[in-house]
Amino acid sequence: MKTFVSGMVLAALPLLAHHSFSAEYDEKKPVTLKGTVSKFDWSNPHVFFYLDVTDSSGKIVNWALEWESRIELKRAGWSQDSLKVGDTVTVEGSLARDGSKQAEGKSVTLASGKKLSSPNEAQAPKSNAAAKPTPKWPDGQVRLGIGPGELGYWASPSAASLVENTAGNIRMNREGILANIADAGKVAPFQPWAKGLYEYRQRNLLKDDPMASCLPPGGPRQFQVANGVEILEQPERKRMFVMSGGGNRNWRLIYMDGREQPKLEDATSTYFGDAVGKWDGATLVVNTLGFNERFWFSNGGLPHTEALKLTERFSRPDFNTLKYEVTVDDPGAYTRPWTGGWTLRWVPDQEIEEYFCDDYNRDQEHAEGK
Amino acid sequence: MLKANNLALGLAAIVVAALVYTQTGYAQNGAPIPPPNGGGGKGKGGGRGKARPPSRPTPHWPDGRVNLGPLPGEKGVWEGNAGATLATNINGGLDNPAMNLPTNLKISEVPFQPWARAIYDYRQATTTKDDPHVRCKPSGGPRMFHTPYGFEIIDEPELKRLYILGVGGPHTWRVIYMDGREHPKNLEPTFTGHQVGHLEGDSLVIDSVGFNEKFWLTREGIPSTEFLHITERFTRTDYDTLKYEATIDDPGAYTAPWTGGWLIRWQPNEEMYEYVCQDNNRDVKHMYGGPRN
Repeated sequence: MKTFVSGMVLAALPLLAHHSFSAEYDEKKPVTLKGTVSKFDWSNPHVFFYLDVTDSSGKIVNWALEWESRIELKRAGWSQDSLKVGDTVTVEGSLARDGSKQAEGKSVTLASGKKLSSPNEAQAPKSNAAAKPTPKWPDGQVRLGIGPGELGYWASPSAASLVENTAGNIRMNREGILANIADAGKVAPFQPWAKGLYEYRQRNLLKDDPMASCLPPGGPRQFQVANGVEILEQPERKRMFVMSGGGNRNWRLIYMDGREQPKLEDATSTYFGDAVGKWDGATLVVNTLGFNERFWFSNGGLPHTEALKLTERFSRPDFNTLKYEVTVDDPGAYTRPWTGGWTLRWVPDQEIEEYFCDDYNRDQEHAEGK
Repeated sequence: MLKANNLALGLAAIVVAALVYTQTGYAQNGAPIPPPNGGGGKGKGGGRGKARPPSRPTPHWPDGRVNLGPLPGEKGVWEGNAGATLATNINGGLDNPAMNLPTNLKISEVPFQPWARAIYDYRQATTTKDDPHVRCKPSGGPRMFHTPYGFEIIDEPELKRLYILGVGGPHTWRVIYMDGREHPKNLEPTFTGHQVGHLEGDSLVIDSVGFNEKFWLTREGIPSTEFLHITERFTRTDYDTLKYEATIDDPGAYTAPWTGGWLIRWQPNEEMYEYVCQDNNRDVKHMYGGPRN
């Protein structure tokens, strides 16, 4: 009986917790629903709206449609006024795996013909024709954060997961789940145990992702989080900060004062590690070590060990583009150092709004299955 | 005689601090993470009863603007002043009167509405076991400034912004707009609210509205509602001291605005480090004060 009750509670939880979409919805089961909006819940961690749909027998069935977080939808042109109760709309989505009347929304077409898409479906702006040149500090150094009078942040990574840059095109969904698990060996030069663990996490649809328990996104994952990231430069203190819009709005400190990095064996193991950076021309090079093993350093669940050392390279080829490249040197999990990366896009005129994963992690007892 | 009194006070403060520390310690970090390089808020600075060398004057930037961090080439962090609070309640056992402002009200003088006083008393009677902070929720308003491990204020006048980065709790940040903007209408309630600030002499003044009701104003359980409007004043009275005052204007919980605060000490030569509340929040038992396995 106790087990049964726990099961019920756990089944109800995904609505509260920040979960993996892949675990909930099946991309291979598309659905089109036409109906009337009965409720629009413009809330975090995920926006929902509900649709009264008349089925073939004439019965009205209420469907729940789940979308990304507000900040992501805003980026794709949504607002809290996008839908009203009573609107007749058509939704494209993916059905829930458990067969419930629930779907992940991909796009919604309003009666006016206007179409709003999930940010993952929305097309990136075709060109950066209007892109201004790379902004610089008065001393000529490239600026990675906002400038005076500006508002904006970095988001929308061009790749779903970190993959070795020689791997070619590996098909995967936006959470980094491979379309074909046989591609696992191409992702990175895994040691056998690490490949096994990666495949296990993939087969489990990332259900054990520590970020879903609101633990911080360390390493490259900071630059993959859906809510985006800010870079705060503090030249007068010779420091930089990476301010994460995901997780619990955590910050990471990078020393730019030329200090020596501790030896790996002396470093305290943390989520963000011990980071020192320096400029190499127009590229910021950050060396980080001293990681713990309690986070996944990329979407998709690539494993790492405390031996992990990262060399990250940041450049800003134009105003709207941040190029991120990282070399992973972890003799504990990989057979050799390897490199991958992606670009991030500048989200102009918007601010990373307050978002705390833990705010939605309301029911710890139930989360623990008590 | 004076010396003995000071010693007694100092010892009492240490005991109280230890009690406070233990309570929070069990809840969110049964085994405190040793900060790198021997830093950290606890134990440095010679202890509460011990005299420190006289402070240097308030530092300023070349243009005369108050410097809320270290002078160039130096390091330092503002101490998370556990134990200090907005209104004195010695009997509550969660108080470090040495750091409270002498102008602070006694808890009996706070213009609570009856329900707000009742909820404060309940939180006291239940040894603050429900404090959202110890469940790793973010801390709005004053709560952030008596959270162990401290914080830094990062002033970026060129950007007309100021950031406050906390080490403890969920290891998070607040942004304060210094560009003269007003609060937007129809704010959605959040933990840190919408914050605008300006400098007045050596004081940073932050005006915040748009708070949710999911945090406690102070660690011992002073409540607030969505009507909360906080005016915080951080005055760097000398190099080593930040005087923190908060005016609580919340017609939902109080019959009149009221002010309290404490002194925040500079911890020289220290740097912020990584502390993640959630990291030790894996086991519900610990959040309820159970022993660590």
